[in-house]
Amino acid sequence: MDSVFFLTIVMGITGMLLMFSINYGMQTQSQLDSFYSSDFAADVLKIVTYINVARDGSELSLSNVDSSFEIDYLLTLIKEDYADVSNDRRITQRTKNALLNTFRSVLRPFQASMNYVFYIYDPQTSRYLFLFFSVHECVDSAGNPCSYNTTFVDGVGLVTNSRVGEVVNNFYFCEPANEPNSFLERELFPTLGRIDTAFGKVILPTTLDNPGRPFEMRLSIWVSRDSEKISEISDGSGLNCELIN
Amino acid sequence: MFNKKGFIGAIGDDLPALIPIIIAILIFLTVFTNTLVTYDQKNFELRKQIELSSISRTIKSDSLILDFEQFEDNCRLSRLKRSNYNYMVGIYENSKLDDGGTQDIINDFISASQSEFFEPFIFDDEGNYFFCSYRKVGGSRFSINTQNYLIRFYPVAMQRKVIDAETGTDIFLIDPVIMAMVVWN
Repeated sequence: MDSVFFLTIVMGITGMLLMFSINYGMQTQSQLDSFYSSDFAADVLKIVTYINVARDGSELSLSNVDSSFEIDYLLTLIKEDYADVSNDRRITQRTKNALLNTFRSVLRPFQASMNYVFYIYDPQTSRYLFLFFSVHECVDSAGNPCSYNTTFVDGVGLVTNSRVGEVVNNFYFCEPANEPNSFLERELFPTLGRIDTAFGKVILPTTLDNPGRPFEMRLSIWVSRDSEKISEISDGSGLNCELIN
Repeated sequence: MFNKKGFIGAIGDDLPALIPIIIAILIFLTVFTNTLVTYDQKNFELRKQIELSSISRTIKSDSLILDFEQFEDNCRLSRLKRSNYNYMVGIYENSKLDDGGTQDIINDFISASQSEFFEPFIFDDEGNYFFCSYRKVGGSRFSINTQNYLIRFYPVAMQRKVIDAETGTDIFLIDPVIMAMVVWN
């Protein structure tokens, strides 16, 4: 009988050892993955501040550069747009194109599997200046959200068979007029799983001859997944988004 | 002694009880050894990733590569760490990822490790390739048979010199490129 007790105790200990060997390192691995994504996002933010773009927003390649070609910093274009009171501080089409070309190029290693949002917001008023989304959406040939073919199977009920459409990578540029800074943190992010974010500060001049004040820029990255909140971006409900593919 | 006839001993008297005891000891030793091996392997893999992060940070520095000298200084600095892992780092045009993807990049690293063929990597106007490698003492080359390797991509900005064909003047512009890094045991 004593030996059976001994066996029980040893089985308990080995069970604990097994659990330890299975779980050991999982949290560290998850932290390291998160660290890599955040590091990647931080690098992207740095590049946004360093990079040169064509002033007309066209794609810049080494072969199309000569002294007649106007080149500037991407950040300069954003600053100029924000300082332009006559245009209601709105981001112009050339800057949107320059942003699109930059992010398409810089985030190319993860373009197929990751969604992200880059945004600048004003901490004083807690409002977004703009949001730039890259999301994967399932759309049909007419550009509408995918529909699903369903059939009835005896004893099982309705079964979703196939999706009608294809997944495409869409880019949205949003300029929410009155939306407070809550859509991402309170509505979108909680539906998307793990989000890795990098923060940065940028000073935007309120007028061309003004030193300006600090704004926050952020890049949040997550693994592509279906979410009803994503479709709200394309619906344009409150966020004032436009497709800029 | 004489009034305990038939007494063999504490163990000998209860031989069937030995079976669960031996089974318990065997199970315990097996699981314990297995746990130690797993612990060691996982630690090795985690250390490899930590080292990869640390080396990549040294080489990419502030994510801005101004010229080959700066890249080479950073590469030299990373080698001073005397890592326990082998690694190679190469700077690519972003479009490289469109053509053949990750497998193409792995093939480039294999070629670079075997025959020092650097053609796919970016080079400056003096023909220096933005490529950095380190092999620990007795470390193997990166080959098709290499197992347990890790590959990571980092975006970096790079200052490029373009010569205007008409005027002959130098134009400097900062362009996004990809830093690919592979680490193996």
